[in-house]
Amino acid sequence: MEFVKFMRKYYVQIILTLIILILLFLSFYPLYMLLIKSFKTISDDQTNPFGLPKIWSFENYEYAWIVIKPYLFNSLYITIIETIGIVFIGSLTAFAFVRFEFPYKNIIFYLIISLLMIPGIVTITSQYELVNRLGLVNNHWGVILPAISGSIPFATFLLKTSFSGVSTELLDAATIDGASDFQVYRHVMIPISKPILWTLVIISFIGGWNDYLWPSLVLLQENLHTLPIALVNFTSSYYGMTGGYGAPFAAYVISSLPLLIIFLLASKQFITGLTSGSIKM
Amino acid sequence: MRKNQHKTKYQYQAFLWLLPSFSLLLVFSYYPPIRTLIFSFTNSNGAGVGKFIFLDNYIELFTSQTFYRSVFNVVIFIIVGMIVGNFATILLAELLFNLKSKITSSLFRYLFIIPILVPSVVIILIWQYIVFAGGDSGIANRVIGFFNIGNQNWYFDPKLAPISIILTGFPWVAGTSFLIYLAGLQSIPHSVIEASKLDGANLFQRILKIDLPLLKGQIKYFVVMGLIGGLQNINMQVLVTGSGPGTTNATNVPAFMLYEEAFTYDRYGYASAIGMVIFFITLIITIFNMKKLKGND
Repeated sequence: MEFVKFMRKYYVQIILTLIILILLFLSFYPLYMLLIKSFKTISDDQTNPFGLPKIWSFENYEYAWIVIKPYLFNSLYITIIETIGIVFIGSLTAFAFVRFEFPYKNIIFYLIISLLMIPGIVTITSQYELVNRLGLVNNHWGVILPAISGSIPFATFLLKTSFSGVSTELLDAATIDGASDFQVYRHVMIPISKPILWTLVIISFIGGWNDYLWPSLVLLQENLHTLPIALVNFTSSYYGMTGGYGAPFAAYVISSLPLLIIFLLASKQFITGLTSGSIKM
Repeated sequence: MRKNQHKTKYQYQAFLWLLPSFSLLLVFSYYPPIRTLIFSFTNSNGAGVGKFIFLDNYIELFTSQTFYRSVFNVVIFIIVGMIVGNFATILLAELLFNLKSKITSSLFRYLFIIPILVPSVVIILIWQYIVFAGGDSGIANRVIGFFNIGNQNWYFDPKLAPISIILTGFPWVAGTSFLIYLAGLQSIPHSVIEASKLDGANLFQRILKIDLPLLKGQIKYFVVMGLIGGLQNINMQVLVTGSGPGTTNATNVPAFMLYEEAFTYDRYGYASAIGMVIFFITLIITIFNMKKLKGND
């Protein structure tokens, strides 16, 4: 009897593991194909599209790196400034709502939060006209400023919830000790709120890194392009030249590395970043 | 008396702290929706406001075959996407949650996070050039080849294009939502699960009667986010399918209609009217959902 029970439990676990392995295989197979194709020469991939490379060649990577390097740095530059802007301005705003009493406080807060209900695509026409009139078409700031502004409502909401949990006594104690408001923010609130700030950093970084549509409208000049735009263009121009995709596939792999590296270095913050941002909504 | 109290309490330096956000928000977040509303009553081509034509844009939109086809498509994409997406991610969360070995469970969780790290544009390109590639080199064509079905053109076949868009990302488990569902399951008190075992409930009964009701908050969140995201995500159309093969509009959606009218045909006024309609749909969904949330609590 005990044995049968044990077997039954064991059996369920095997089935669960099998289903997980199948899902894992299905999720990874396209990525695996990308990886092996990125090491193949064009003729190798044509004769043998599904097998391993005959010779593992790094030529695709060498060529892809030369082509996408400037765009990788454009993307990093834009994404890092956006992330810093969102976290800095969002935390100042949230701090104001948590630390101060001021007229129309609730109305102002709802005025910010209500922006969450306007999908970005709705205002894309007037946003474009605006950026154009400000002379920010073909300028990285034409991407950065609207992105920061668009993320302030979410950042404020996320940080305000977390900042409210910090004990008022602690903040008051710092004030009584002679700290200015900015010192309370800089030396008490920010260090205490590190986990939620990391969450915001990760959400903002992924958002900026993935952004395609708006940058493709604003950054028409080739030397200003971000990585996603460059990947799309590189794929079609390389295919036009050679009839293959080896080097663009290598570029896809390279462009996946920054987030992978951040994940491997800070996986704990990364996972909480991915989860807590939405649970708080 | 009350007025006096307020006077001493108010800390007006708060406005200094709000200055950075409001200087950005006024320009980039409050002005554009108002401008879009004005645009929607004009025949603007992007250079200035143009001529006021009152409701003409809206009348044109609501009498356009393309618009109804687009709405039909987006409803299908959102509903099917939401059902299969949530089913797949809840399934994965349950599988990982029910693994006895915590070490294997968290190892699998790590592995399923990796596909999230690939940029979304790259995922689309992988599906276009590797999975749904035409000819013999595509994975999908190879798979149907085992069943003696000839090569298909997937994204570029009028019948298959909408299905291909839905299939993109199969098995749809790699995303942040499985992490959130898993976190939800892990927050169920151990005693509740033990009690269900003592009452003789099997795994499926427990999932149906205990887990799913307790995940209701998360499910609701993903339903709303799926609706709002689904209404405005047009990367697939912009990068791969356009409005669909030929003039079929097989993959067209309202947001892509807006994009094309604005940036291909310079019809800012008409595009803005489409934008206003999308906004009102979002508003209705959000209000409906907030009311429902309140009613339930």
